[in-house]
Amino acid sequence: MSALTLEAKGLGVSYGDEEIFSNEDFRLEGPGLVVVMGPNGAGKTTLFKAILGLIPVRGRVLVNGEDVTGRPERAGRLIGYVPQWRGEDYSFPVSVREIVESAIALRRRPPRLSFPKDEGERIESALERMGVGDVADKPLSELSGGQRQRVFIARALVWDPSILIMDEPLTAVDPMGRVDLVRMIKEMSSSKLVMVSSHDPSMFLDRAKLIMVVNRGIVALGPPSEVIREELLSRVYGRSVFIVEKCVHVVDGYAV
Amino acid sequence: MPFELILDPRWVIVVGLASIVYGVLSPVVVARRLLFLAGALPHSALLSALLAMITMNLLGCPFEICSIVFSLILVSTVSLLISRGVRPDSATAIFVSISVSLTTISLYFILTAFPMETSVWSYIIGDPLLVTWQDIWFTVAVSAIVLILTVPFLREHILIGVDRDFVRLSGVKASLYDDMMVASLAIATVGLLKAVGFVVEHVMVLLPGITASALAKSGRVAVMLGFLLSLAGGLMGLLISVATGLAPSGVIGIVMLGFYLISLVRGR
Repeated sequence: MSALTLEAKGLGVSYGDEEIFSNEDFRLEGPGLVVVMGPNGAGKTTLFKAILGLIPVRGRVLVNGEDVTGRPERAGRLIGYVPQWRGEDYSFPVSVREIVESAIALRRRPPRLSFPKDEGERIESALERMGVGDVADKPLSELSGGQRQRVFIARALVWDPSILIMDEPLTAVDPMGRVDLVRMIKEMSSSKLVMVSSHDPSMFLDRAKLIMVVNRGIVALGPPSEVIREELLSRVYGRSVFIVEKCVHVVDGYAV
Repeated sequence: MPFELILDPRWVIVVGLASIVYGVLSPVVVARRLLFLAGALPHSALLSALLAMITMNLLGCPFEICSIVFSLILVSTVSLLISRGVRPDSATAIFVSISVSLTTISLYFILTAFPMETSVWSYIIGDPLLVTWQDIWFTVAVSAIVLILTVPFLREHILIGVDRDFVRLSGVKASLYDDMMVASLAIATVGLLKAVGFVVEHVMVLLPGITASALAKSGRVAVMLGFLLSLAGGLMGLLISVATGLAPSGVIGIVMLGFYLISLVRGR
């Protein structure tokens, strides 16, 4: 058994009567980059939340062989998670340091009011690694989109998990910030299993080990050369797909 | 005769405790974006107090316990609606509509059936200057319960407001903290109703947290600032009201509003 595996067996998710995933089986082995793509509302976030045990599912989810089905506290020990930015209201001031510290503070037994001084180095290391050490005392609301994403990645990296799930990490990030973030994500995928969803998968294609196409179910899973085909993508995205020379783009209103 | 300010220790205790409790709760309300719900809670508190008065007069049930039980039931109903998928603002709007209607019916019934006009007024406008030592002990008990339920868990409450999923992935049962927060708000709003009054409860549960959020740059500072602003506002309001003869709750509300306006001018 590989030490870096994420496996779903008969995975099913429904919202009320609406079935989003039904009896899905897949096995991902790391390290490497797995790009999850699909149109808006296809179920990318739902898939991630199902893997992490944040929503009720049918079937089983195994991480490194350990059953984490419906157990977010177990999944959270093995997987680092970077949530999608949905324009959250951060009018209550929470500093960058407090966000990153939460990765350690919340794992301790209550009361969790104080933060252990001996863990300070781990926090500084995560902040510096993601290049947000200089804004550590700023509130989240004062950061740019790119800085904010780096903060959440820093939080996910505090425990140095072997698997990372990043839900649309390029959302609300300016073009230069995107380039930096993509470079960092690619670097991380050399030692970790990184699952990343994106409306602009072309930025990841040169390093992607696998592409997972999602559209109310897993439509395709395989290496880019097998999955990035006009016929398959047109089936998923409809008329949003066009081919320029030999470069595939998906233009669904989210990609820059 | 020189100006002399006479302060009864009971006034200071009851206003101080109410300010401390709201000073702790208010930043959490802002962090967890419960402003709409918190703004509706005084309505349920007033209704709970009125229902407890009726129950006490008709059945002889102890007022304090009945009012807290009614408050918990009413607030739990809203929580249940929200947990079943009803949008929080819709659930709160329904809740306010029903509680206001029932409050009017209860108020009319009490005023016509029982000779309790003075007591009812104290719940609406609040009057810490009329509290008895029995009221003080009740306030101490309510404050202790609320503070025990919230202070040790401030970090979790704030982080649930930032990223609920991450809190769950860290092994914290967020739903348990939701219940604790709702229970704390329900107990505080009804338990401190007589001291603060229905009208000013809106101000005290909302403004310290909003003001502190506008001034602070971290959650830790916002919580401390919310607490200090609430305590300072409460005690300053009490002093001014005793000196001027104006209604204490109203003056406390004006002082809190003053703090908020200053924070707007100062900005971050």
